[in-house]
Amino acid sequence: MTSATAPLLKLSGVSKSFGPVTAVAPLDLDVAAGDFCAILGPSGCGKSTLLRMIAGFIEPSAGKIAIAGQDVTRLGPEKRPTNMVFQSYGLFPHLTVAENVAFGLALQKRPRAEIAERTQEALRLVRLETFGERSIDRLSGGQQQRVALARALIMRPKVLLLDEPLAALDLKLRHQMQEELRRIHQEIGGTFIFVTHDQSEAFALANLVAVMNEGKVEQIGSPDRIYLHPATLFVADFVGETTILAGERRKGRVRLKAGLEFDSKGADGPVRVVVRPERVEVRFGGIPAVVTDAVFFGSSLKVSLKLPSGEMLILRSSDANAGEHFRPGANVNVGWDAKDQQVIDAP
Amino acid sequence: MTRHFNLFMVPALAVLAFVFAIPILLLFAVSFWSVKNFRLQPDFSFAAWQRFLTVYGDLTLYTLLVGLLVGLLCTALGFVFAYAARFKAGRFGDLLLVATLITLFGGYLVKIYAWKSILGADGLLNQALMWLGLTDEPLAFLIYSRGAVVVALVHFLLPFAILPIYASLRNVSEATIEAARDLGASGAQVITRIVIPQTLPGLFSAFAFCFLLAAGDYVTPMLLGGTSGSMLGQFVLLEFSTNFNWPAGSALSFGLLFACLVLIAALAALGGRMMRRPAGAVS
Ligand SMILES: Nc1ncnc2c1ncn2[C@@H]1O[C@H](COP(=O)(O)OP(=O)(O)OP(=O)(O)O)[C@@H](O)[C@H]1O
Ligand SMILES: [Mg+2]
Repeated sequence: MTSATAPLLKLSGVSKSFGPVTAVAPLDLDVAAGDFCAILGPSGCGKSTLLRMIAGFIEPSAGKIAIAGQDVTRLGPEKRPTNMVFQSYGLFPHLTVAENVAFGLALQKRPRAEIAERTQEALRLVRLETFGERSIDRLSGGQQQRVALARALIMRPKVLLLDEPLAALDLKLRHQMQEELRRIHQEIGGTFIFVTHDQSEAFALANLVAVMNEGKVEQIGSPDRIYLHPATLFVADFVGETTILAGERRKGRVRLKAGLEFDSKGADGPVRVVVRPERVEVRFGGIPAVVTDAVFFGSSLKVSLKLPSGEMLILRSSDANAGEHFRPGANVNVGWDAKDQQVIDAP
Repeated sequence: MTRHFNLFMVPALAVLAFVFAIPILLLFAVSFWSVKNFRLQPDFSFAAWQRFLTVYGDLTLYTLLVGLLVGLLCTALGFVFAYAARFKAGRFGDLLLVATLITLFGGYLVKIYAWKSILGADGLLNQALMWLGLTDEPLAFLIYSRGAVVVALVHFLLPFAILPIYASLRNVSEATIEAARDLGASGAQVITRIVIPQTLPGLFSAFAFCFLLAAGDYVTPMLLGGTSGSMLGQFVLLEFSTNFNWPAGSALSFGLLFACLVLIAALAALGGRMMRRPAGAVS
């Protein structure tokens, strides 16, 4: 998602260490206006630290943060054109719903009428029009989540930051709120950055995904690029179901232990080949394999195959009659297109 | 369920009535009695109350003012201390609190005598001032003054203010503070609009506690107040013991009690109003 215009948010060489611990290694990130960007990674990888540096709660150890061309690296959160939805919401318990939402505008001493109107508008956006006079402790978790969202949105931030906004909700509510977030993003056309450790959530919402591991950004790109062409083994493994096959590159030609051979540029040495299950198919003259297990998921069938090398390969088929081909113990020949595989140099 | 509960309550209520309510009611009744030839006799006279209002009216006002001042100072200082312990001291916060608890064990008289040795004619402060050449002879007004009473009372009562304030500050979540900053609040606005409104119950109990203890005190003004710093509590003692005027002593102590309660109730009403419509709220 590179755009011709200058990015709205630009991080250059931003890093953060807490004493000897490197929470975020130096990284670059460009987010264009209108992007819905997900920061995806396992627990403790530095996602929150990165988001809080963008918000201004943590000062980077090095690097620069610019929003709309203005350097904000040394500005506190109250001076940045960003607003944040906190994982624990941080709603003000001594104020009503409407007072919570209006808090930021009241600080700016806006005219009463404008505050009332924009509060109502923000509450409508999160579908809480009739809840204005409620006190916070008389709201459900999902409703509190919406108040936190409205309280940030009313400020019309250039960048809206969300730290695991849906983590505290149950599965059904989470899906519902994902839909709401998509709708709100389309309705107001803002720029959202959200942190999550849930890969399906990142893919469902974002058009730009940054995958982090142990403080480093492993890959930044569109969801389909990250899914089909993971840049590192970590990304391949963390994002979705995958098969990783071992092999060796010699003079521009890769030989897989499983028996396949193909051309691939790069240095000599061990490599790994990543293939997504739904790209694998039964193919005449392909690698011989034995079906070890087949599980029917309703919309698709997940088949586990044992290759001659002893490695396991996963195949997913949405063919209605697939079950007949893949009885456990059956011999099949499988393959995939070269464009659907990703060759990664092994560490 | 409720009936069982009521039955259980009976002994407790009986004990309370005997130990607490009946003696107090008796003492209150005494304020309408009279004394003839050093003998207390049942009566229905307002002489004691009249004495309270005419002779001790000004002193009552002054005593309330001292209580108010000490209460406010303790609440303000207690808030500063508790705020620092909660938000600035990191993991040393609880340690700071233990330290304040320890000073409570220091004892009441010890603190008063400590102030005597600091403020007295040959006390530390005067010696320091003379050594610095700021004054030639010891300043007499440091000790045996209203100021000395207030300083000693604040010092003694401060831990009683810190504890309830710290307890309510612990319930203020950091996320609310960060959210307020994120929405554009300055450091001062965070305190006035987010922290204090959430801490009002703690601040109120801190104030009420210090105010009541200070207004009712008679030892500190006796030892440090001299003639100008006298408070009503000393005269309650005087009426009961030296003058053997029990009705007057009773009227004095109940008069002070009622005045204090009225003041606290007024403040509670004000606080309740503030809770319902805090600063930063928009209708
Ligand atoms: N104030 C701090 N002092 C020291 N270390 C910290 C501090 N904040 C974070 N860390 C460390 O930095 C690393 C990244 O933390 P961070 O909170 O950013 O992780 P995260 O990806 O948000 O994890 P989670 O998904 O569990 O919220 C962790 O190892 C954490 O222990
Ligand atoms: Mg986190």
